Amino acid sequence: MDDLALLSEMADRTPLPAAADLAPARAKLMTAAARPKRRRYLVSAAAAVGLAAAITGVVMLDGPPSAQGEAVEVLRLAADATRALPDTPPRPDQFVYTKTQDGRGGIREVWLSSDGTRDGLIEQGGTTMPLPACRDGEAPVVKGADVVPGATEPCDPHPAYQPDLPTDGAAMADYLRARNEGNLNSMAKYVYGMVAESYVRPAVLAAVFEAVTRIDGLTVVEGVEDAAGRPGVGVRWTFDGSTNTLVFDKDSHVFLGMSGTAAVLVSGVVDEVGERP
Amino acid sequence: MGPPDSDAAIIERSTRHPERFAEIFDRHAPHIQRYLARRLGAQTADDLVAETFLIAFDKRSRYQLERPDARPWLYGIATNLVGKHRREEVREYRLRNAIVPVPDADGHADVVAARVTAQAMHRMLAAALADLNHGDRDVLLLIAWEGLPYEEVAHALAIPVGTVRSRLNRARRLVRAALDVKETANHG
Repeated sequence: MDDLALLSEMADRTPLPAAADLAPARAKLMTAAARPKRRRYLVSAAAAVGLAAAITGVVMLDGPPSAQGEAVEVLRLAADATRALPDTPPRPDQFVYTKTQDGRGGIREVWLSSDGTRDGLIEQGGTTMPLPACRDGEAPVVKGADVVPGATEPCDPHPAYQPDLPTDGAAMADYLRARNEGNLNSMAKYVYGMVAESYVRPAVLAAVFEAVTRIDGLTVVEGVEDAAGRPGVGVRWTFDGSTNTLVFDKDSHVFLGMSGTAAVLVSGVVDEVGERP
Repeated sequence: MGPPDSDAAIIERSTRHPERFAEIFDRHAPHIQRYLARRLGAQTADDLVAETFLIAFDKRSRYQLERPDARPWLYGIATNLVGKHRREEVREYRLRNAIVPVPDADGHADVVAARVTAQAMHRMLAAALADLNHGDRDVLLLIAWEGLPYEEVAHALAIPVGTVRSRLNRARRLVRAALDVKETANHG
């Protein structure tokens, strides 16, 4: 038989998917398309979902997954290493600075108001975008990179630092369950919204890793790297067809990032927008 | 830009009305998912079809509006993603390679023999695909599986048409050689 005919016979074994099979992918696209304004690109958790899915931050290399116990061990080491990090929360009038690199090498720098009441800024790909603060439930309207004069819209403040998050694993698990319809396995996107371009106290981040130990079906994946190419070890679980992976430094056990997100190159607290740590 | 209901026209409108991009998804996602499933298995395909359209959505303002049909562009994005999962792809072919057919219980002897031979051919073919270099494999499969004309393959992969031809020739030569050698060995 002719090679092309044989190839086409092989291809015929894979049917077109039913619409229902495509529904999750379509929903992800519609979430990204519904992202209301550029200035909410990162600060809202819902927007972060689209971003997380859009960027191939963590490249999975290979390696056989292993059992829950091993994953829990990785998470415990990570929690211990994280708790040992210095904790210097920003004052309400300060800004959280984050510099990230996406899977395609794109650099993004963001200044977010610690308490959400001061104007922030995004610099990305040569463009500067204002992030007007939300005051008394109203914020100026931004179109593209410009503030529309005189126009405002309803908003929720997005503080870059939340001082009141749980700091132990059990309380964090309850907190996350309460915000994910009682299901801890579904919390990946929520966590991403919580930690992305924010100041997260080491004890809070450690509590997240301890909460993750309670997720069912964890596996360890060796040989992963983040969007900046830093090698690490991954802890992975699957929920509703989506694979979630937390990536930790192989030696120091510190958190590098989540699969599908940009790699954090620099983060810190500064007094003014435009200042770097 | 083509007729008002062309992909290009919809993509152009979607820069101001992002939700319009759903129509591009509805038109092309089934074929892009099937292409990804053929190369990486259905499970990975479900994830990557979502990623393909999110990347396309992000890049829509740079779409070349003189091209009315967006499918080659989407194939290009999907093929890039396949490139990031090369090991999984090779594993997928090796997996197919390992599947042993179970003949029907009431199968006529000749039918069973024919089916086993076809299965053997498919196994050899899957092994040959796994051995191709990825650039040759991309071209071969976009043409043989997805039915893209040379010009669209060139556009999807951002390579000259001449390169499409030379890659296709090399890929077919290697695949035929793999099938011939094994056939000879079986008969000998």
